Amino acid sequence: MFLQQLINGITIGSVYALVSIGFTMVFGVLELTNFANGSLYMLGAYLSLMLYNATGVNFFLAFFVSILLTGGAGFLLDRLALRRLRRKNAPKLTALITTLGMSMIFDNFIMLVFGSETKSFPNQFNFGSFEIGGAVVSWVQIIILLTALILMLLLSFVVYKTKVGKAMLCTAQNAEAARLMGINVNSVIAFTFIISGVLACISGNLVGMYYQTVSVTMGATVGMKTFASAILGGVGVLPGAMVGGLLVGIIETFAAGYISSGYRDAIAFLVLIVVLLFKPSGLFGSKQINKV
Amino acid sequence: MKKNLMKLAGLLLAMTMMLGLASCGQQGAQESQPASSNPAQTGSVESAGGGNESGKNKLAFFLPMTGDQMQYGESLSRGAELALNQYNEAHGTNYVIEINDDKGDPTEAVNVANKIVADSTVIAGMGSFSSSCAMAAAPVFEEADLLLFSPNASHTDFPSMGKNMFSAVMSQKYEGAEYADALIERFGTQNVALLYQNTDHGVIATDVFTKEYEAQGGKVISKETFVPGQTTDFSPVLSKIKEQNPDLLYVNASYSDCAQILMQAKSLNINCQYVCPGMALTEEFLSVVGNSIDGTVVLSSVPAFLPSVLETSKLDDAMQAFVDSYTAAYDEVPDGFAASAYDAVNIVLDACEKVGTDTPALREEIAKLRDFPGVSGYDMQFNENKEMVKGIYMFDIENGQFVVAK
Repeated sequence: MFLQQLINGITIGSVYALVSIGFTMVFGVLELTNFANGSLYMLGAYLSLMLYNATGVNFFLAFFVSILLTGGAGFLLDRLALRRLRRKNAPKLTALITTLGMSMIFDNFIMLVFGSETKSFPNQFNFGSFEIGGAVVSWVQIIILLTALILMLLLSFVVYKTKVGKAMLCTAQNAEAARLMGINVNSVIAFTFIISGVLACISGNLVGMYYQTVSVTMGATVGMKTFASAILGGVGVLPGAMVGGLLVGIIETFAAGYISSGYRDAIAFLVLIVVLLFKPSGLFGSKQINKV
Repeated sequence: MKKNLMKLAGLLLAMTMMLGLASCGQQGAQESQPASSNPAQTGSVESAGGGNESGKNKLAFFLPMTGDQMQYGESLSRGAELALNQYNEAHGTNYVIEINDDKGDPTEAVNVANKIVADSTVIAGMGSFSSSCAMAAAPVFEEADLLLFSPNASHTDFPSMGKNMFSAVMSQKYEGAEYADALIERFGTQNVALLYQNTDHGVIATDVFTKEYEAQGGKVISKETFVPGQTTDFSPVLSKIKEQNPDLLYVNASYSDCAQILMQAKSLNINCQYVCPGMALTEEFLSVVGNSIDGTVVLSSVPAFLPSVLETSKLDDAMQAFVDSYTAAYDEVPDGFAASAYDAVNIVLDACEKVGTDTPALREEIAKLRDFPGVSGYDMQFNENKEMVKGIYMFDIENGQFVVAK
């Protein structure tokens, strides 16, 4: 049972990790808690489902188009709402409330089009499962974990080694100074939002395949854990989000498996609080301004 | 940085509370028979002076006709209307019904109840959809000594709130016990694992089930609970159940959670008999699970009128006639709520025809109901505590469809 619970925990943890990487990037660049992140995750899954049902041709084509569309939704979120606020030098809290509002718009739009009931989702990675030492592992679980790892490495490369990434780091440190140095701050931020939309879409689809269902509230249920994972790992640090996600997943799975299913959230958050008491900047966070 | 974290932590807390509230709201709407321990409120009552014989011809319904439970109010009112029209036609009577809107809100239910008891033409109050509304209104009817016959209140405490309270649906405690008996009759005594949602309904149903199942010689080896709306990942608790090696897994949850739990149980290779309650008897459930959990047993105290069930199994004549006339009148297949309201109207009107509209005589007559061949169940009767007891239905899922078990 220990092994099985560990595998369960790693799977759910990889999901948290995937979503919180996008979340932590936006936070790193803008110091903005993006509440719409969970909605983008849900939107991505629904868009693939819609495109697949409408065309019925190829799921991966639908998946690909939906990645573009969700990236676009992330871009619009910034372009239509947040950029205007930045131009007017609105306080950070205004931007935060705006993301909450945008999240409600996304959620209710989907509810209006699809209805609020749980929808079944095609599992394209249905390669079966195998047993190790009495524990069942399915290929979807392995794919989810690998995707999270690969995306984390890829994004770390983009952020720390490329020009765009350096521009992001600069914007994170001081947007005003970055602009004076000739960096187009708005497009850097837009790029960040597109990436977070793409990540949300990929994870939404993987989760849809894993559970073979999607629902409008799927974003809200991972939303809390995403914040927790990002904070536990140190907000703004990409490997931190990955480790944080895995830890939160494993802790809550063990809490549910060995103590009681009703306490899973309580114990996950308790651990978070204890970690923050001893290391307020999170496991990987440094006290220096070192974000993205 | 530190300041930001503080802010974030505050927000997290706020979000948790919001989510908690939101999920509470959802539950009520999802459960097919919402229950509430909401204490009844007492309202001031103008006594209508029940007991006069003449001039009473009205059944006063109070149902959620607006608000988030309105789809249930709609079904109930349609079932009632149909029953009334057919009854008047068949017996040459001129009973009328009045549909009041309680918005699914217990406070509003009390207001409407006061209005109803003030109307001297009312034979009986009929309502509401939720047990909380019915139980809030009950003291008003009890004080006015007027019959309150609910088409849908399933809370265990409702019938004992007064001598005038009746319900057309089976109380949760008998439902759970009959499920246990039905399972033993079909599969023999086994080692059972229970997984239920931590709500009023889930807890009562599970307690009753356990008591009856163990009294009959079966063994409940594992009892696990979960908070609905918190997560869609049930693998930790299912892995725990797998360790116990049960013969049968009984899941008490709303249809979407049921679907999720059973599909995850399947992918964890928990090889045993799956059982779920009547809440799962929906088209949506089937569209989610497909044929991945064929062989699952669904138990319900209300028959299913889903197109797939109607195709594969034969209803008795009364039910078939009900489904046909309902479909002709409203252009849709009736649900269990419409059937319950239909039966409620017929039970009350039958009693009126026999003993008149005097409340004490009426409630005595209704309490004598035995083996009533309703459309919302069979062998319907009130026991000595005037609680509704009826037979239950067992369905198998075969090729992704519900099929009545032989």
